[in-house]
Amino acid sequence: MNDITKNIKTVMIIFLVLFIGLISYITYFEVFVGPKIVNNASNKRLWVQRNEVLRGTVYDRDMTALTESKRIDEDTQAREYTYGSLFAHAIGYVDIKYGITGLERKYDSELIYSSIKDNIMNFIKYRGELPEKVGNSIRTTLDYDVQKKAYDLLGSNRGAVVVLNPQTGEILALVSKPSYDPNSLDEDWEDINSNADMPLINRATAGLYPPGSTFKVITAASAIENISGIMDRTFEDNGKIVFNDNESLSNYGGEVLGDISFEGAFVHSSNVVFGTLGMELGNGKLKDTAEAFNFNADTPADGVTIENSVFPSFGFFEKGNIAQSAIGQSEVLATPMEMALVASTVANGGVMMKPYIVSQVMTSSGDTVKTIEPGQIRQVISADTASIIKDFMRKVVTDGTGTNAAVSGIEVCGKTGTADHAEGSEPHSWFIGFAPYDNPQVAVAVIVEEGGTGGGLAAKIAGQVMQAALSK
Amino acid sequence: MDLSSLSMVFKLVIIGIIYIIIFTALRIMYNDMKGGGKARRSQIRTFGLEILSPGNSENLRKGAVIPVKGVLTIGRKADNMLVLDDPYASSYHARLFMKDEECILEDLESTNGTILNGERLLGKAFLASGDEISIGSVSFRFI
Amino acid sequence: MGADRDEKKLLKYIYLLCIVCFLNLTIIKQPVDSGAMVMAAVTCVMIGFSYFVIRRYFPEGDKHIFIFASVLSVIGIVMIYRLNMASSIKQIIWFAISVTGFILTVVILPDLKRFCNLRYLFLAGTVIFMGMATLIGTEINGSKNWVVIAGFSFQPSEFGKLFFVAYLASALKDYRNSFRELIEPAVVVMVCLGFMVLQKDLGSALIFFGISITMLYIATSKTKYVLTCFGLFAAGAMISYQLFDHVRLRVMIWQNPWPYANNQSYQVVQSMFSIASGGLTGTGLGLGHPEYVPINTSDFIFAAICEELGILTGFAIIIIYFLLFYRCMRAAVNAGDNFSRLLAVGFSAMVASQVIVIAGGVINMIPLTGITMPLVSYGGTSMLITFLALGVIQKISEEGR
Repeated sequence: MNDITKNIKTVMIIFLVLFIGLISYITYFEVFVGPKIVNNASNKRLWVQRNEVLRGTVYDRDMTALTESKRIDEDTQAREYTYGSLFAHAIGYVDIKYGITGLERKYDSELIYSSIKDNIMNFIKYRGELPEKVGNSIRTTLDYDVQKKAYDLLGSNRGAVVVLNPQTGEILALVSKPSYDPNSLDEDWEDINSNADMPLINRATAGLYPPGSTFKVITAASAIENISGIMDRTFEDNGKIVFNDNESLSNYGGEVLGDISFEGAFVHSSNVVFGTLGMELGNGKLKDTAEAFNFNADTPADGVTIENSVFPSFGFFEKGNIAQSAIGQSEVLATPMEMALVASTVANGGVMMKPYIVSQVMTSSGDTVKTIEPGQIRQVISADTASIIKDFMRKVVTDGTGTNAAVSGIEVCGKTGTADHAEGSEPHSWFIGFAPYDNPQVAVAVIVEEGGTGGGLAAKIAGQVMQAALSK
Repeated sequence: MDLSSLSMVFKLVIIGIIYIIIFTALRIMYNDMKGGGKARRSQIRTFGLEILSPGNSENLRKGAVIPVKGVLTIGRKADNMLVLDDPYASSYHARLFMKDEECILEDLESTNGTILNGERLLGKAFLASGDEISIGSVSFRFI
Repeated sequence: MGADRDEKKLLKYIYLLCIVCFLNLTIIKQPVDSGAMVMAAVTCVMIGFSYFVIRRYFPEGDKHIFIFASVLSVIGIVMIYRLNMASSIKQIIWFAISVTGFILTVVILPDLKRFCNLRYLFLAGTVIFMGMATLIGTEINGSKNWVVIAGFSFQPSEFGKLFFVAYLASALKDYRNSFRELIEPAVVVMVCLGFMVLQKDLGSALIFFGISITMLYIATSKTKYVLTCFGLFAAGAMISYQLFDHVRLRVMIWQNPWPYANNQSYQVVQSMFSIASGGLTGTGLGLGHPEYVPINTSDFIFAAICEELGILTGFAIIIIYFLLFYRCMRAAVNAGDNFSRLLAVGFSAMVASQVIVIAGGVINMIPLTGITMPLVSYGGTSMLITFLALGVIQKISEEGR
């Protein structure tokens, strides 16, 4: 047993290393792994925390309560969604079994936060016998009347309606159909999940569709900014562009428009002219404009998550695709929210505002905690370009494909879209627009899945929704 | 806001006390080690040479243990601490001395050499318990 | 005399810790819970009295061992009181019994050298205790290492540990560079490990391995033996992985616990949530939710402590264990003969390995095994055995002076 001291020292050092390793691992765990797992659904602590305070109320812009929370016992509370499926996608739901989604999730911490000042005041007032602690409320920018109108008008169709204020970015309505009733998740969960139409998806912000001719707004903007003399040009529209033996691109219904100006081509939605313009611009320039409108990028927003819309890249030789992309087909995909933002940009002198759905956070006693201010995303196109397109869009409703969107007494502007998406199916019916022409207050995007022409269903819905919004 | 919120304050106090305990203990131990002296264990490790075979020396008996305190000089001369009356032993044959709690055997350039565990020792070597030392006809075991 | 003053200070800090913790526990309930202060008083009295006895009659020995042991026990008692009051009372009774055992060990046990030749007695004891559970044991919580006699359940492998260390100490003390001497102990070690794996008590298997390797290295100083042992262990681990599905299950849960969060890996997942919720300083006693962690008074007490008192406290506990280990090894350095030395090393390694295995398992650093945290966890046998082992080490530290 030689060098006994040395051996023992060695053993001590080895154990010291092991102990230090243990401490390091705990630190690593707490700093890196901990935050990621704390929000796991199996962690009951979050739910206990959510339950400690009576969850705050969600209001619409006129202070109509959209939710109501009642305490059942010390460990549970019940959340009632006053208007059921109407606001299902905008607000989301919070349920111990099914998780937490939508605005409930984004503003979770505010809704369960109980103001300390209120608590102290109550503690003093009631001398230790505390009444129920209530979380902060949030006032949304949603308008019950507009939401209801849009919801009813969509009827039993699948689709979405987005209504924005183009000057501030406030979201007045966010409708997605089919919807579901967040009050009866337990009973309906099986059906909801097995429904092939996927009612849980918020089509307004996450549904990606080919935008069809509504995309011509962007193509027009690109043409105005990149092709000189475009306003004075005359185009020859003989109903069809032929690329080669196999591919061609034609107007809707094979319509021949003849000699036509740029404005005319927009107003009557000429695929031939815009397809040609697409090829003239080339994929690069058109893509740049699309990306200025936030295609292929994350859209900053508050209270909603928006899927990225897609504008593809093509080689210079892919003429067919380039032309198709200029009319919102080929691999172009857009969310209804994105197209609403496109419309509101034109309405707002070329400036895209950041969409937001919550305007204020208040304590349960009504004091304002936080106000969300409008914010600009960027100046997408020049004010002049916007003005030109605005005029075009007015003419679409007065003389062009969008006459069904006309409302008496209001100068409605817009663009229709009839998007082919699958062989043998009806195209999607799109309409984007804003009103009134002077000083626009509301911008809209409507899509009716497989609803036929844009000038049909979508335009009608859009017109009436805008009327409802403006009548307040 | 019931009293349980005071736990927030308490937890810091508790953690503080625990760490104070750790540091105080560490300080005590550190002082202990520095102080050396009386806090340290007393030197109870004594070394000795056990006589295995006395050889020709008459003053040695087999099995006797000669304690080694600090230094032990070995040789034929009478002023050695351990006197070997052996013709093969030099006047000053070898010495054992302590260094940092280890015992070292040093051969003092003896004529016939000092044998350590069967091999001739040249110069110095550390001794370990059980080593066998031979000087002339006398052999010892170091313990 | 400065050292004396410091030691008295140390003792006072422990009293303070005890009082503050129980004060905290007193006020978190409504109405105020005065039982907690009674506990505080009882604990302080016991610690003070025992310390006094040890100091008075055995001033030569190592004073820190008892100090560290009592700090850990106090933290344990406090946490158990917060979790389950009835268990806390039982724990404090066991604490009293164990400390008495500690003192008796130091007082009554004659010079340890007398025991060094009882090798075969120790061997018999080891085999009996280790095998007992395999033969007449019952399965509780997934491992078959409990024996129930007349309503009392105890784990014979805990007692077996003591005999095991004693056996190895007596077998290895005369080691003189020959491999043959190692064969018998090697066989015994492998048999014990085998029993442990059969009883599905993998934690104890790891501890036994830790003890054996440490004692082997101290006895022989030959790194190659240690490396060989690691090799054998790896081989054994792989074989048992192939043979036993409970081993496979543990490894599967360890590698990725999340998919099975509500089934097999429920325990370790809840433990991880608990620790993650604590943060640096914890949530505060009574404000966290350690009740969601299963077996929170014994196996997972470390997780509960980290949740309510923060990982800082977790670190402190690990540091204190290491300091305890250090003091015990120091007793080994100063020991007079090899048998005592090996005993001290063995028992120290026993405590240290246990801490590493359970702390590592609770945070999912290594696969989870069902063993307790020595002194902190609720468990009479565990505390008693640990204090007995510490008593032997204390005795060795006295002899060494």
